[in-house]
Amino acid sequence: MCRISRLPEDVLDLLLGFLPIKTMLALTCASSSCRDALDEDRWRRLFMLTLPAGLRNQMQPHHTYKGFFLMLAETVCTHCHRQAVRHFPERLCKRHGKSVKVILRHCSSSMVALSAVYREYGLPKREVQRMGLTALRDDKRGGPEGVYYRRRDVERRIREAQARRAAV
Amino acid sequence: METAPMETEQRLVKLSSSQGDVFEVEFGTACYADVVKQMIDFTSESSDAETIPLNLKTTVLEKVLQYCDYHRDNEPKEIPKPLPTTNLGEIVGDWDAAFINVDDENMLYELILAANYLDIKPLLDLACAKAACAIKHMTPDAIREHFNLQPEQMTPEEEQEMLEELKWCTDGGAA
Repeated sequence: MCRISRLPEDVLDLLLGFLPIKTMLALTCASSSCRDALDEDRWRRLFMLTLPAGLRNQMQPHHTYKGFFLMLAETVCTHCHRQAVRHFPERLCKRHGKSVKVILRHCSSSMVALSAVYREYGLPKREVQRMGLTALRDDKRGGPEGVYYRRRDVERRIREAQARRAAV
Repeated sequence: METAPMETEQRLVKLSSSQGDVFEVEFGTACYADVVKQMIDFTSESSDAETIPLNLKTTVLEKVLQYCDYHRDNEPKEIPKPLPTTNLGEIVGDWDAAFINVDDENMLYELILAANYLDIKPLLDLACAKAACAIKHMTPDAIREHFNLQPEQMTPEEEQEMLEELKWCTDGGAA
């Protein structure tokens, strides 16, 4: 049995608080005893102990606590808006050392990745390109690998495209 | 009769390990541990020279007392969560980093348990941070190797589920 999972409950909470989510997840994959120790109740406690209130408020009723932590994977730098780190909560941009904005994956937020537009709105790639999302270059938040757009702009473009199609 | 503050500070306290070794330490050092302080308060009412038995191995108690003796006059630094770096010296300073840099990992975990038992919060934080440093950024395989765990027998479905969960942190994103 793993030495970590034999620690008392509150001590284990403390130790896990020092780890990035990525390592916690690796722990759950490494041993069944760690997996048992990192149950939903513990993710709930870590949620309360480690996340700021602003982020906690973004949890939706259909999320599990563990699932919510997994969604905190994508973050963008508030300075350059490039994808900065992939393991919340080390929220510093590698390039600028500034704080990053947390974007929830598969979850409604004010920003959406271009790659997610195809999936979330059920649109073929070509159709999305025809909508002229590339014309939103001024609003882009990232480089070619991780472009984020304001969701309201994307939705406006979709509505406009649908209206044009209906008119034809 | 109440003891004068100076007299209390100079007073020596006897603490014994589970192996029967007795350590005579200054009152201030012993009282850095809240639990010991409570025990002293309790035993002071009955007898002055009583030895306080602690359920800790000699080596662990010795190490804990070393920490208490240093930090009774030196405020420990707060450790941020999550750890910004695995170089503990940058966070807690050289003395604490050298103190917690124990060769034997069993000793580290015994220190964690001792700090928890004696209610020494800064030592508990330091030891947990050190344990976290050791496994930070490790893959599941590396963690298994580190703790000498046997690979698990999983059904293909369980394995697939696990790989799916792990995907986002292994698909080449910035570490």
